[in-house]
Amino acid sequence: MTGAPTGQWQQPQCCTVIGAAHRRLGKPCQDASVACSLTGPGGTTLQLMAVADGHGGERYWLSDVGSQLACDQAILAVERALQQHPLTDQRHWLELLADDLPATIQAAWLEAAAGHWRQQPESSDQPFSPLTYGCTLGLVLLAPEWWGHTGLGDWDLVRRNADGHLDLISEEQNVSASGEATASLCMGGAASLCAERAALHPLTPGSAPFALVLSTDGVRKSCATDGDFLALGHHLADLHQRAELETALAQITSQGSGDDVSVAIGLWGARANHPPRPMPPQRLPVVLLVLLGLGAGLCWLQPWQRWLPAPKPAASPTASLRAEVQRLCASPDRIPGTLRQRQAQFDQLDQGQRQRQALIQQATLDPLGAVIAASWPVPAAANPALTPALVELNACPALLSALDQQWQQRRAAAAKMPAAGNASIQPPSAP
Amino acid sequence: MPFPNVRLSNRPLHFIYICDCSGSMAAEGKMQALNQAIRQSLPGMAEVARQNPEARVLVRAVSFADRANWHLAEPTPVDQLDWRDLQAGGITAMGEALELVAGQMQSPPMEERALPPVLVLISDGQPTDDFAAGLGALMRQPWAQKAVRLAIAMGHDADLEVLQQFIGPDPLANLPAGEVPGASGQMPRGMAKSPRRPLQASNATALAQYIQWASTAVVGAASMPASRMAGSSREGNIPLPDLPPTLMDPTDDVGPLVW
Repeated sequence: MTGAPTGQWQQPQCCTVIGAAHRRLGKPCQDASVACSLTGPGGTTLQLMAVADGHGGERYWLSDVGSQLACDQAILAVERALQQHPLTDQRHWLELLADDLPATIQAAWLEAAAGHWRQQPESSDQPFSPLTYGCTLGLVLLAPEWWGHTGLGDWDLVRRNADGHLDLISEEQNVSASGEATASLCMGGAASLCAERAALHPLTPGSAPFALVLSTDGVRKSCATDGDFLALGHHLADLHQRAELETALAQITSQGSGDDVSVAIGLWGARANHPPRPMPPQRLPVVLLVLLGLGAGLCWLQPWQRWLPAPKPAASPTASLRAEVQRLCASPDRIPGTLRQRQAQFDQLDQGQRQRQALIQQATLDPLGAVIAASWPVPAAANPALTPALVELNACPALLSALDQQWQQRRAAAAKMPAAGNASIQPPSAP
Repeated sequence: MPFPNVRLSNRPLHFIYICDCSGSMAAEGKMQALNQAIRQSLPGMAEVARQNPEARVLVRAVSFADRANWHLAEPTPVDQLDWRDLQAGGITAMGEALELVAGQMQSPPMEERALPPVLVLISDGQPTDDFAAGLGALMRQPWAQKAVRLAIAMGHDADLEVLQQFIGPDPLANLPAGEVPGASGQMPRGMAKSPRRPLQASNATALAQYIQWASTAVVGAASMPASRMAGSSREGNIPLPDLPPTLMDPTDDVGPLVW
């Protein structure tokens, strides 16, 4: 940290690493990612980061090209919008994120894919099909007074606050029950699907620092649980060196899903140590073509300085717990939704797959997980200093009620199952 | 910066045999052939699992006769599996077997990050219980909807209609030639041999080949982390590999007709 927070975005970074399975099988990396700064009228700066994931099946055999084109067209579309619409008009940019940008990107993506197809030998006897290029797209824009996102498919966006709290801001809802299905740019009406993933979040210069981690599904699917995924997002947001990020992504894919993995990271809240380096849009296709020629992993990283303060180390797990309880109780209406994100953690505690004490001791890393763990009944042998009852931490009635409700719901769901759990585990009492 | 204490994990691939153990399976060596076919397929399945370390292949088995029971209840890594012979005797509680499987097709116990499971139903007869109720219970579960469902008919007394209901509609049935997703992209000769239809084994050799195909080629395909466009029904839940060439042509079946 080399300067006081002044309320601006650091240059975003991105990285893509080919999946361990694709590397082994000699298949191309089907992910793509991009991070860049765009300059609008009057020198206004809009930063952009995007990830795209080509479908892996044989039917989508040029989806590695499709994902690159998606990132390419996203930049061009945003750059055009930036020339036409002032960033101060937040309402209009929200409409752009929900409707106009996705429609423009998809149309341009289809056109670019068709153009690519015409250069393929197969085009002489096979008509162009968008399916061949099918991919997802997650797009995040970082403006001086707001940030927003849009896109479609199974990408995830995690926000890490300065206090270390992590939120899964955007994820794909269950669009189809079958297999590894996901929404795709190659679908008819794809642009209309982006509205539900679109949002705009206002900022002020005094907004507390935070980090955004945008990732393709290969990252989340490499983690045993959502709790692990969030903890991984926390870690990735702290990686400032290219080698570190590449190494981490390689470890994620090799020990996890084997899928291609991409992340893009944006950081708000501190003075940029290096001015953003804009990339002229007219150069982008050339760069992307060169990268396509290389075949696999795209990684464009800027010099990166540590600027976001690391989560303040708590004096003790109890301090982190207390802070998390206060944070949750500050927005009681958001508590149920926040807890629902952690259903697996409730179940794992219930089934003895996660240890209450261990979760509480990791409260500095995953304070919400620690709160959930703390709502579990205190084992007789536990150290009371490390297992404070939530009521002693001034938990509000809304939090206690929501936790109780989650436990009851999870246990009711488990009761419908055949006896597969650990019958010796006792149900939690109401906190 | 050290990697955090995060549990990275390969993705479990649950493979469940659902085996008819009714009294008719005792006839003509069918039970023995099934036990032998499964046992012989295990080394190949283990090899496929070894080649796809991103998937953790876990095998279970349900037997059904008068009642349905877990023959192999614990999800067992294929390289640790010691197949215990199934025994024939009783009627055909196929619906109850599907209900038993249904109980495992939700999260939990299914892991959030699991790959689509593979369910293989093997039968030589007709259900004697409420098959529709069992299938309904199964298909209400999200992981059953995601599952790759295969069926093998042992002999010509098997109820192909219920086996097809278990698999679901054949998405390839109405496609023009050349648009069949799969390794070859070609329509198998003889739609009766589509992997999206019940595979009819009329002797021990054919049964062994189908079991081998399901436990190796299908497991290999299901192990691959390949996404696809939502709403596309013709691929099924995963693009299935083609059947072995000798089994694609109904006029070129393997071995004599026994069952």
